[in-house]
Amino acid sequence: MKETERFSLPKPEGQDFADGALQLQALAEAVDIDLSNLQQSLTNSLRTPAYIGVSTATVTIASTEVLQLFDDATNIFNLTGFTTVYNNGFANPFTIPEQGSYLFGCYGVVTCDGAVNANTLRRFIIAASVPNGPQFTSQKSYSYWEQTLQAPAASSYLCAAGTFDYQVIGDARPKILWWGFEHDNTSSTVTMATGALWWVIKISDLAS
Amino acid sequence: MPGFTPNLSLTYPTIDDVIDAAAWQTLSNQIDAQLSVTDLLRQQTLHRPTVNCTGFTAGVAPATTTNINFNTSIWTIPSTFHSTSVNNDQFLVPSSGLYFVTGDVSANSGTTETRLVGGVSLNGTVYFQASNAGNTLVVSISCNPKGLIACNAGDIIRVFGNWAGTGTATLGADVQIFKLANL
Repeated sequence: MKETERFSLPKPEGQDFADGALQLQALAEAVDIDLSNLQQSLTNSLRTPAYIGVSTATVTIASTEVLQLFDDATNIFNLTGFTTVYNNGFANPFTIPEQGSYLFGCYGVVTCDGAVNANTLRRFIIAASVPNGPQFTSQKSYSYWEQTLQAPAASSYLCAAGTFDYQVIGDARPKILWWGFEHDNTSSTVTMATGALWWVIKISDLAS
Repeated sequence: MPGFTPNLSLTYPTIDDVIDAAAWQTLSNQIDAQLSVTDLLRQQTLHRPTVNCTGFTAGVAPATTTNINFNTSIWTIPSTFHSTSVNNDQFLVPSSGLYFVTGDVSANSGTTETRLVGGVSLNGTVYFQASNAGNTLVVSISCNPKGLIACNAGDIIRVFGNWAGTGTATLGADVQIFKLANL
């Protein structure tokens, strides 16, 4: 039998023995493989790795500290693949399931616990540090900041978002996603309320 | 007895079966049906719900949380996602999924504007907010709430603002919403 040009589907030639059952079976099985693979890849593109976490306790931060979110991690949504929530410095990295381009970000509400230094900084820092390239020769780092000034006697609301590429599968080196908060309100500590969100989602395969 | 392929259960005749027109028709119809399934997946992949709108709500007093009306559509896919004329403060989620929402919320034309909180709610519950502090000199202030929301079909997303200062202000916003994944 010959095969079609693009998907290699079997087709009988004039000299082929007229075994219609076998020829139909070959065609059905070839179509089965091609179509099911195509359907699976389309389904996968609609169901990408994603994670949304939410804090379950308030956290208090002095102006000399940088809060590393989020020790009180509860994932409210974990579509696929993200197996470890990052906490405790670099000892326990967030596991990125597969290579691709990712969107990540966070949200939180912070309030001074005492005296407010007017117009002082409140800032989220989100960062990714991931292996770069198949040669394992370097790492890429991505950092994004979102900051605001806090008016007297009010809470601040912060959202941050950014993107990063992860190119290597199976590299044992840490793949760090980092959500942090800092402020310069020196007259009192600042508390981040329960319900802070942090999230990451794959948005694309890498260009081949 | 006919045979069946392992993944899609396409039916083919075996050596003991009669190879007639019905056998060909059955296989052709089943391939046709699976092509339709594939085409639907393709459309869902390439035509994900998305909306980009701008709008404003005028005459807003300070310290009043106000949903912003979106009266101009840059694009709205599908058209049921948002109406510029009916309940135009609402974005009706067309299908369950993870949606990225980002927008700029501004307060303009107040006598003084010292602070603005802009946010996004889901079914009336605040999901995330952003704030910005101005000073007594400014008459325009903005902030950029953004985040990822897990939604069900029929959920309602709104964008709101709440400002501090004197006078009355116009709350404006542009918002973009993209579906990124199925749940």
